[in-house]
Amino acid sequence: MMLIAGTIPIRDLPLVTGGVKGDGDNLVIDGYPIPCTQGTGAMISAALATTDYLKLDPPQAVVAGDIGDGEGSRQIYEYLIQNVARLTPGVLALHYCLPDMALMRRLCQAVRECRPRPLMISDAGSMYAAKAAGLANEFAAFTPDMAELAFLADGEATHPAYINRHLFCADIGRVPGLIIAAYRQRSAARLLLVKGATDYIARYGDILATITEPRVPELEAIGGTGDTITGLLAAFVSGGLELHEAAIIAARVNRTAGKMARVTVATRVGQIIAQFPAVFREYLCAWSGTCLIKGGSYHE
Amino acid sequence: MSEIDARGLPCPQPVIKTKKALEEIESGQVTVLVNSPESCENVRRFAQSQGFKVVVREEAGAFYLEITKEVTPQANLGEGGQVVLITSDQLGVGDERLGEILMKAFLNTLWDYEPKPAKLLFINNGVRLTTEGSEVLETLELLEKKGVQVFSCGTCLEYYNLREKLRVGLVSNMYATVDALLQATKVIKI
Repeated sequence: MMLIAGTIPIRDLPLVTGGVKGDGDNLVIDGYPIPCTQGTGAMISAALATTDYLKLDPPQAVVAGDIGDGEGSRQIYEYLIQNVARLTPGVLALHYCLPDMALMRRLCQAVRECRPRPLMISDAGSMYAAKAAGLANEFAAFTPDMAELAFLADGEATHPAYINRHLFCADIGRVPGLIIAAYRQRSAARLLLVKGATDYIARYGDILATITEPRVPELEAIGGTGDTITGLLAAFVSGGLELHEAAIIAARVNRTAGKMARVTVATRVGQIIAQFPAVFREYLCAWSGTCLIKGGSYHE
Repeated sequence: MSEIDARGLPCPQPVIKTKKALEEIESGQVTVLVNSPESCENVRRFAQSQGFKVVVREEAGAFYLEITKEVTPQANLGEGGQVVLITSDQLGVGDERLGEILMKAFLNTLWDYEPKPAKLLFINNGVRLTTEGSEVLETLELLEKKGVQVFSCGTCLEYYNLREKLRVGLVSNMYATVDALLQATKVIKI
């Protein structure tokens, strides 16, 4: 079972838990409509589209409204700390929560006690907390963008807002160096999927793959298109793909869906997610590397 | 014997489920049930590419693939198999932290690679990798679960005062080390 947790920027949304369903442009969790415009909502939507296609159980979610005061974040952390051992998800994917190091330490302790231990994937605020608390090595994967990678590479920064040394160096050519620096600082998860004009997949400091095609620069201007990659990654891993294979395929799917949707800067992330099934049907078999034929024709 | 019902599952799920089921057994039979010729062919070719025997029978529009996994290829590599001798907690000479990162990457890649070596021998500073505080303990445990034998030099553990902190594998002595090296099909020194 895959469990996704993160905040939603809705003032009065209480802590909501349960299985995810799709309803037009929205998600529905325990009767509450959740928009899939960006952030946690986009990540869950991408995961749901993937589990639907693969005929896996839909994701379970833990979300709460948080407009910056941290209350929803604390509710999510506390819920996970109290319940993760009972839920024992195979994959625990964390998105934006206020970066609270003490709560992250307690959550990681609770996860350590799970049998079997969930594979943890983290993006955004939860990733900041994990790095700042020195807990990066508890995580299977981080999915930073380039600025967030610069934060991971900066041993002294406790939040992306306080990046020091790498702030003005975060150009695309520096990504391999920043990846090594992040591992040297012990601030990286086992696998890094660095999202950007070029997507980098690195494991233990070793760059396994770079994904540049198809080139769809408009994607970077559309909110939520990085979150969808994290959702895809979590769902593919939950479906049994190896972590690094899942990361490579997630990056490819997102780009190809963007191309199929003929995105412009005005495109909504939901329109890109709507292309996922078509991308899966056309390419997933070949990209997974596990299948040799599709529809009677042989792949490489 | 385990059975996987992959009828109706889209590609690549039948192959992934088959792969996982075969990874979980040392030897034995896995029967996979699919209902499309494409899935049948994908699973059959995957299993054959891994060196397993496959018998396919078709019944009422469904395909039953009986896959037999025998002893792993590694066991056939000769009496001792491949042995990796790890003499340091770093890979290569140069920056220490880079060396640690490379060693971590090496061991993790080893876990992905097939066939795996029969034994990992850790000597001198290499025993820091098998003891408390090592960042690769989880990887070494996974390798052990896959049948790779992990040995740490007892003298080295004593020298570094790490004997009580050994967290993975067994303690070896010099006789066992020499025996493993001389009986090996191939020795790779790191």
